[in-house]
Amino acid sequence: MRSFGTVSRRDLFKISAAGVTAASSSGWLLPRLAYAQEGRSERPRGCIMLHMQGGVSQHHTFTVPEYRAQNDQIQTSVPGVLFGEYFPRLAARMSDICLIRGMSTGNSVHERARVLMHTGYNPNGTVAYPSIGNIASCELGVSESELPNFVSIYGGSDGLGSGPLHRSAPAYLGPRHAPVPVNDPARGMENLRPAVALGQFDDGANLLNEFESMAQARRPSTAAAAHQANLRRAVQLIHSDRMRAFEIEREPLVIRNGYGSTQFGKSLLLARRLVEAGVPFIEITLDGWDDHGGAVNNIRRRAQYLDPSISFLLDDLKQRGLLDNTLVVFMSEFGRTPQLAESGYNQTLGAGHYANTWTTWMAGAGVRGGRVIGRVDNRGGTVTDRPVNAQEFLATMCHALRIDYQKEYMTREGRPMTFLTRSARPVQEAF
Amino acid sequence: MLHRLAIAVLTLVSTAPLAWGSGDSRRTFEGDILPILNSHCLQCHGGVHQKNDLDLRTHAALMKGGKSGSAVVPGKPDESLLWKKIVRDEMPKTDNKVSDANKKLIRAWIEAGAKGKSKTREVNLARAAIQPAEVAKSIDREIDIKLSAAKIPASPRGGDTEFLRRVYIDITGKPPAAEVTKAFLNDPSFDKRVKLVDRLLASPEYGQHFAERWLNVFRQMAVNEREWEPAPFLGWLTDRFNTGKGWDSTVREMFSVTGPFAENPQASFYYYSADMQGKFEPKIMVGNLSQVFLGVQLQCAECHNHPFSDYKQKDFWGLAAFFSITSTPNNPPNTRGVRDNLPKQKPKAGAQVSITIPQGEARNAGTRLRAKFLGGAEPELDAGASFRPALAAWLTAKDNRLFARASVNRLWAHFFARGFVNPLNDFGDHNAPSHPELLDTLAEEFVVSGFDYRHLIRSICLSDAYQRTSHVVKGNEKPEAEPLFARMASKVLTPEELYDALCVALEVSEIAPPSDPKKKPNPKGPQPPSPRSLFVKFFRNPGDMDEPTELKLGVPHVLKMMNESGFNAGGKVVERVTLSTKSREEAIDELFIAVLARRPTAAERDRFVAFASRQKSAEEAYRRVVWVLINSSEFVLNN
Repeated sequence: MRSFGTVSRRDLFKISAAGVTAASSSGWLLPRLAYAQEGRSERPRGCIMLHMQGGVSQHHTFTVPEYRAQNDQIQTSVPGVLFGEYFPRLAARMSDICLIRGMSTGNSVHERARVLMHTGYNPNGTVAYPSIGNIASCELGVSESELPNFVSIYGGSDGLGSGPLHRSAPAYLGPRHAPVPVNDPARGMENLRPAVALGQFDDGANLLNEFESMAQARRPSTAAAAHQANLRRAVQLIHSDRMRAFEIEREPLVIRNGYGSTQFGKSLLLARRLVEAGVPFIEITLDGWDDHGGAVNNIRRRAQYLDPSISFLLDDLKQRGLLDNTLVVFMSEFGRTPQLAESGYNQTLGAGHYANTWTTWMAGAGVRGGRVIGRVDNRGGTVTDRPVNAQEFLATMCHALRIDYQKEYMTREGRPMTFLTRSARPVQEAF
Repeated sequence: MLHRLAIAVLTLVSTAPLAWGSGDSRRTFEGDILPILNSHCLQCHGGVHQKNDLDLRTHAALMKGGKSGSAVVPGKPDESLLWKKIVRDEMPKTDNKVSDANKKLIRAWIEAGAKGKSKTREVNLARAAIQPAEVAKSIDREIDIKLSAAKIPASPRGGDTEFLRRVYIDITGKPPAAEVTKAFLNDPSFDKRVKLVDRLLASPEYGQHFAERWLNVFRQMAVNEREWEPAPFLGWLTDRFNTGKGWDSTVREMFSVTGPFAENPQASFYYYSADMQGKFEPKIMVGNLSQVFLGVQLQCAECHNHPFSDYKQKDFWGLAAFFSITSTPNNPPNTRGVRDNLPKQKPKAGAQVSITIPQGEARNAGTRLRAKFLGGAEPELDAGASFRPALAAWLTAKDNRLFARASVNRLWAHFFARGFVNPLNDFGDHNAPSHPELLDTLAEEFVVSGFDYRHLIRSICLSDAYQRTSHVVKGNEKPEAEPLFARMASKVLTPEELYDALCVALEVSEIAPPSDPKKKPNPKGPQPPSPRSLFVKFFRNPGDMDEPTELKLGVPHVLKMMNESGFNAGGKVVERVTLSTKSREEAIDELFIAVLARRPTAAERDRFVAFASRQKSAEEAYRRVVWVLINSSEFVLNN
């Protein structure tokens, strides 16, 4: 594998990209590939990442500071572990959750911190890094799967926006590992139904197939082959019952009610259906957490649907036996300030950006539930034990997902890259 | 995937020696050996690490050797350390051993005298430009020499339809309309291709297309994700192209601009070098400037000396110093535009212009470095005025070979889907051009023509190399024929080109997306984005555009073209053809001309007519025919 000969690395990149997209154009329908057919013994791991865009106040959620809570603390199912009062149902599921209280990531500028938390690197303007979802698509995805390998769901916006949504660019992994966006979970993946009757569609598709073999046979190109592969997959998708994974209305009413009627709840339900169908990575972005006016009221409002719907997701995954190999991650780009200034902007608890001390959690996929990793001082302003940086956070996700984060890839320019640095280590206490 | 990759590598390695021929004496360090060292050795003996003081990046450094003496004794492989270490797999120490084929190559090169590259020819910038037809001849001469040396046959000149659609898309960004195609095919004159190129270069679409392509190059480099209105800058660039301004002066004006946007739309240029919050960053500018306008990967030297080439950290920051006092306001569009924060008091004569390497991941943080041209002098600058005009003058100077060569390489790649140097932004000894003489000839021609884009485009489009068919002939289907331009490559239409092609094919001015029932139009709100910009946004993938032969579309895009109502409606073309044709045969011909700018082959006509007769009505049939054609690979490619 490492012996490149004098074939340029860039050519290699092209060949590998073509190798996975180019396929015979004869006939549209290929047999479905499942992980079992790829020779894997167990169900591959999947991940649902809940990305709370804008910066979640740890003080009002999962790490209420001792000296001055604006909300009461409540007991969780694990003795001695306390949550903010708005999350009683998640508190009851603490035995499944591994809290990381010592997030200390150093970047408190929205877009840059989002890049850091998704890629492990601060953006430097010169090198593009893939996000965790792109890596999961590459390493856990089934290349000939009918379903996409990375779906990014817009879970809605509830509060103050903080710039454009994070885009997980596949960088050196190639465009195949870009996320398939879902803007509205109730509508699922768009354009799956033909504009004409299926029979008429097929008649046209068959003519297109014939035309492709006539016209392009004399003019072979990787681009034409890739387009034909896309056409074939699209036709296959249109006929596939596996795309029903995108149709949340197929779910029984009791389940739909459990997830709730908010866009975020529907996104969770869609994510569970996708993970069940074998999609390895689903990211749900809930925008609006940039609570500069103070977090307490906003979080009380959001918790009304977050707490029941995320709890329901954990239960639902567990009940279906999926939690053992599905990682659920609750994260943001940073946390929020302990009370700092006496007056003025950002004076209240949780109003400003704060990356030195904040909280994330993970559950499932072998992550040890009921754990609290890290300690903070009684102001909630300093990590006093076990700080975790972005690289360690992502390494922990990779470890749970069985992804080798130090595997070497080549950029087009021939620069060898690994997803995380050589020194990155997972948080071992989480397992 | 790993497995597949390994097979691909094996196949290529095993066929590659055949293409090289046996002329060992022609092998050079830069052309043949450095690529191998690049893969195996430069990690430890390059710009970042020089273990045992050994630097293998240049011929001179190799000859000088490291602590253990010279690495190579010309003519005597068995006395050469390089060979002794590699042949026994003592080096590299990693598992990434040098293959047997490459070992043979290294040995043969040492035996033949371990030569470096020959001196490049002198350029003559005093001469006048020559006629495009003459330039086209020298293009073909150089291309043909390489082809016959490699014994690879060239495909013949393509037919009129192939040329027409290709040159239309390459110059104006859209395919020809049905009447244009018919008129061109019926035109009997022998010089109709020449006249067509002239006509297209005189059309306003020429400037629009190249301006849009350049904006996309800038956008691709940008890390600043905040969108701003590109129209004024686009209009400014369009006008520069359409009025035939020299590329050097256009670039100078972009770099030297000072003042508010209203009078200086080119000030937008600085926003492509802003950080994620929209703040102008000198170091991002230097990364972009070096890659786009000089064709070199200087950005690697931001933090450390370049691993594969000779660029030093001080080269990077020397250029950054020219922008050290430049700023843009945070939120475009802002009336303030671009400015330099000049000192309030007149600085003393001889005050130095410098920049400090910031704290962070870079090495040597805190070091102050003087403004310095890349590979050139530290100029005397007036510390009381903007430093950017001096930089712009150096950048676009006639004798700045990097600028002319990078510009020509990019323009060539626009038409041929690959440059003489690839990636386009990676010039250097480690990455020799495929046609060094031709690159120099065209760069020289570009300079002496006054950096005239249209002059070079005319020359390129008149060459046989450009007019070759994309169909293969026996012997040129191999991958090694690709860099020799044996046949025309199939380029993937850009999102902008694809949308415009759809409008031309459907004979409509725009294709509106289905309206979202949830969103009510707000007459007081901001203008909704145009259907074209929505389409482009959906079809634009993150990733670079230096790979025009690589399809970046995925299944969601194909599904949209297949199933969205606007692309199923058939447009005006179906209406026209239904009303104006008398037979299915005639209608199929018309539809092929409208959508693909060619007539169907006899076999295609039979199939499509049979298909049409199965449908309920003629109109329904023609709608489906258009659907088939716009979803074909032929339509999404520029062949």
